[in-house]
Parts: sequence; structure tokens; C-alpha cells
Amino acid sequence: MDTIVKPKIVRLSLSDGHYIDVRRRLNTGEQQDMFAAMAPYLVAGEKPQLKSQAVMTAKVLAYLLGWSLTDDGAPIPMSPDLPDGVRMATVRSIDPDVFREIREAIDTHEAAVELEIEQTKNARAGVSDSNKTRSSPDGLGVGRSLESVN
Amino acid sequence: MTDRTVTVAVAKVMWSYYTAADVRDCTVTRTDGQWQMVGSIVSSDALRLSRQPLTLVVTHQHGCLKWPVLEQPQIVDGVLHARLGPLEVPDGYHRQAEDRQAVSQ
Repeated sequence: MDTIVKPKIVRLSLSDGHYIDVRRRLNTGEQQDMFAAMAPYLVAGEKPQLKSQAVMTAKVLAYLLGWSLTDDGAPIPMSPDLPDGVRMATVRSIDPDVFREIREAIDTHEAAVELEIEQTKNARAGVSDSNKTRSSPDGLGVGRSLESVN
Repeated sequence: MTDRTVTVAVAKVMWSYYTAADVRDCTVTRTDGQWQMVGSIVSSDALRLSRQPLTLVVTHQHGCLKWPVLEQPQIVDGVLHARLGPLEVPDGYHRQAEDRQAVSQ
């Protein structure tokens, strides 16, 4: 697994031939910013109080880099260079059905990437374990490798 | 011999969608076919500046110009110097979600 999250852009298709460009994966800072937008007030020992109107937009804003959406034929600006307030206002002004489609596309994308990462981790762990077992010179490798894993 | 000079008030060095450095008073010159840039650092991120690939982006009224940064930029006394590859994007390019070169899917 990479230590630094590489800034890769993934294009997701929407209906009517439109698309959105999103971050493949959030890095730690972006993830923390998203959680902070969802639950800005945390009290130690208590469950986070979610800011309901921000929960759905926070993930969209965290992932979204650009799109092909237009209004009356004119492109609707969306870029990470825009101020956060402008991006938020733009997302809040789009049609609820379009927003729902964007949110679902991002949810699906996020789940797919998490699954891919999990599978890669598991595959590496499996290779690593079998290597440890095979390389054991005294035939006691299985027990040792289990100890080291657990 | 310098045959082309682009001087702009502000420019950015980008690592994909991240800004690695904001630069002001940026001058891009082409000498004997080789592009290079120099500009004063306004803000920078050392980690992002150490990554590859980096791109110098100059936005203007009708779009933007982009050059690949060929090697690790040098910062001397707050001034960023970099060797650049050929101009990538023609004048008039509009960025609106069209960064196809960076799209991985």
C-alpha cells in the first residue's frame, strides 16, 4: 500500500451522457475535513452529533473535482481551485435528483475502491504468510508465522 | 537564443489536482527550444513539490497553458526555478472538467 495517497482522478458516468471527475481516494487530511464537516462538535465520551444538512454534501464535496454539468447550455464551474463556499453553494443549488445521482455514484466508487484495497491487502498478507511458511528451514514455520501475524 | 517569453502575474505548480506552489511574477522563456521558468514563491508545499509529475499551470481569460516540470524544481532565496518540457495545452483550452490527461478511468 502507498504511504502517500497519490492524487488520481477517476471519471464516473452519470445519466444523459454527463460525468463527474472525483478523487480516487481521500487522504487522511481530506477524510478528517469531511468528518469535521459532518460532525463539527465532538464531546469526549459522547456519540458524535451529526450536522444533518452537511452529512450528504460533505462526502460529495470531499470527492468532487469537476463535472460536465451545464445549465442553459453553459458549463457550471466546478473545480478544487474554487473557494469552498462557492463549491458548497453550487452543489446546494443543483437539482435534488442530480445530486442524488452524484452521491450514489460517489458512494459506489468509494465502496469499490475500499474493496479493491482490502483485496490487495489480503492478497499480500496471504503471499507473505505462505512465503514465511515455505522459507522455514526447520519445518516449524507455520506456528511461528501465525505467532508473528497475531 | 530566447525566442519566446511568457510573463504572468500568477502561476501554479500542480501535482495532479493539488497545488504544490503558488508563484507570482512568473516568467517562462524558451531558449534554443528549451523551456524554463522562474518566479517568486508565494506559498509552497515541500512534499507535493517533491512528487512527480508536476505541471506548471498559467491560467488566463480564455483557458490555461501547461508545461510539464522536467525535474525537481529548485528554490533559491524564495525564487523557484524549473526546467520545463514542451507546452502541452494549446491556447484557448478550457479547464472545465476537461483534464483528460489526468483521468485514469
